[in-house]
Amino acid sequence: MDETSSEDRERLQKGFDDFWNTFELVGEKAKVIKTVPKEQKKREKREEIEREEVEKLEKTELEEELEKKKLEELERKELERKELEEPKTELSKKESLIVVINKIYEILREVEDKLCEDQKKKFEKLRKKIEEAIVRDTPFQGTMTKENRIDIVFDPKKSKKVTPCDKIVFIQVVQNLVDGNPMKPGDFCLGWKYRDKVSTRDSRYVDFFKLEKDPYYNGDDSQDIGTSGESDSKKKNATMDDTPFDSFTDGSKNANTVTFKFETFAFCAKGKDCGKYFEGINWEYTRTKDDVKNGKEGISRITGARDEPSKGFKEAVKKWMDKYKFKPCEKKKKGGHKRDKKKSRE
Amino acid sequence: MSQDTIAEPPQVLSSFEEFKAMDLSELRTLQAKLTYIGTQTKPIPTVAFTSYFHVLDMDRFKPFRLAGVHYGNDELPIILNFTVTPQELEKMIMASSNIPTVKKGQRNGDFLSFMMYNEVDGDKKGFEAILNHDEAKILIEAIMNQLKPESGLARQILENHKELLF
Repeated sequence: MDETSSEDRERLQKGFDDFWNTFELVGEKAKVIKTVPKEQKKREKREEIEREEVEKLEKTELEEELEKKKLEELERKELERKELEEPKTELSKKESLIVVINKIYEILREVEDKLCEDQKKKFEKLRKKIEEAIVRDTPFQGTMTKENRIDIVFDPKKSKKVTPCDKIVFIQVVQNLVDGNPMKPGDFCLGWKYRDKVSTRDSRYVDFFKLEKDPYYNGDDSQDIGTSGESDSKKKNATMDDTPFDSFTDGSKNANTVTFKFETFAFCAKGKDCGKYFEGINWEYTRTKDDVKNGKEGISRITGARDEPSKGFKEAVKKWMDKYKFKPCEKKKKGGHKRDKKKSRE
Repeated sequence: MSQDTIAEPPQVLSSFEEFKAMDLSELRTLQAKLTYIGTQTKPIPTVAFTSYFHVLDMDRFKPFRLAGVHYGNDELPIILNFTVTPQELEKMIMASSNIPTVKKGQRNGDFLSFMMYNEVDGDKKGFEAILNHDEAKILIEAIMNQLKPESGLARQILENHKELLF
């Protein structure tokens, strides 16, 4: 530098100043431009991390919430399952099996006409075996069906519920169904208008004739069929039989299938435990259009055994007793209940 | 019950006129029955009657049944039955001849089967008319009206039957 001319030195200084000024100008801007994105990036990254953490946290909370709900749902289902399982006894297993068997039977019944003679015989054997299995180890063991007829036996010796009773009778509740739908008795058969008055909302009613003085199937009315039982010092079976039939007239005129669903219960009508229900059975009668065509009267079959009467059964019995002011176990009044004076086919 | 419970094959029916022509000695062995054949959830026991010279035999009616008709009420352990005099039987037949379905021996109804059976000189004679609701009522009343005042049990049984049916 000492050796250079002053002119050169001045030029150099100027260049240096220009550079510095430019550097300072551009460099400052460059500095700002360069440092701001870095911070922003950092901030953004930090924010992103924070956001992720929040999201992660939120997600975890949501997941936890969902997981919790899932667990609660599972616990609830488990409880429900347990609740359903708890009352399952040997009998309910049997009942479930009976439901399945009945379904199979119904399917077979639908195709019965298409079966050959040998298959029909086997089907009939199967039907008998099913019935025997249903009533086995119940007081109704010995109850049998043949075509549309049923012979019911109640053996107090085989009952788990029976207590001292001087007179065991049957109360039977029936429901008439046309192609699976319940029909009011008076619509089903024009002669049964009097039964409408004691019929429940789903058309169940005590099986009776209008001149009867009690709701018992095998009671003291002159046309009653069967014998009453006893379970005191002497043990005697209660028996009854029925031959339901539908002629496909009135309400069932255009039906494909007619079903009568019966619930028949042994009941104590006299003695120490008068008014008490013992065991019962469910059975049904069906007749199809094909049966009519083939001159068949339909089929009666046992469908289940029961320890307690159904709600519908109790309701129907109550309706009958209320209507005719009948009190079981009360000393009989002469003349019985007030009969319907109106003509039944009106 | 279906036809496989019938002991004998179906037999040809005799006309109502043949029964109407029977004399009092022949009517001693006549037996008749009224069977409800319509829709039922509970059986209505059949009412059967004969003269008091004869013992009722329900199996005699079986060969004269019509296929597809519900005779289940004939198979019950209870058959409400009574006996009357041959004179009363004669009057009953006369009175029922006023009902065209009975007179013609038609089986078109869906409510009540009226069957008669008698064995005359070894010849088994059967008759059936199947009546509708209204004709059945007329028939039961016609039969009841021919009963002597002393036939109280017969009247009670028929009255009870009428109440169950109508």
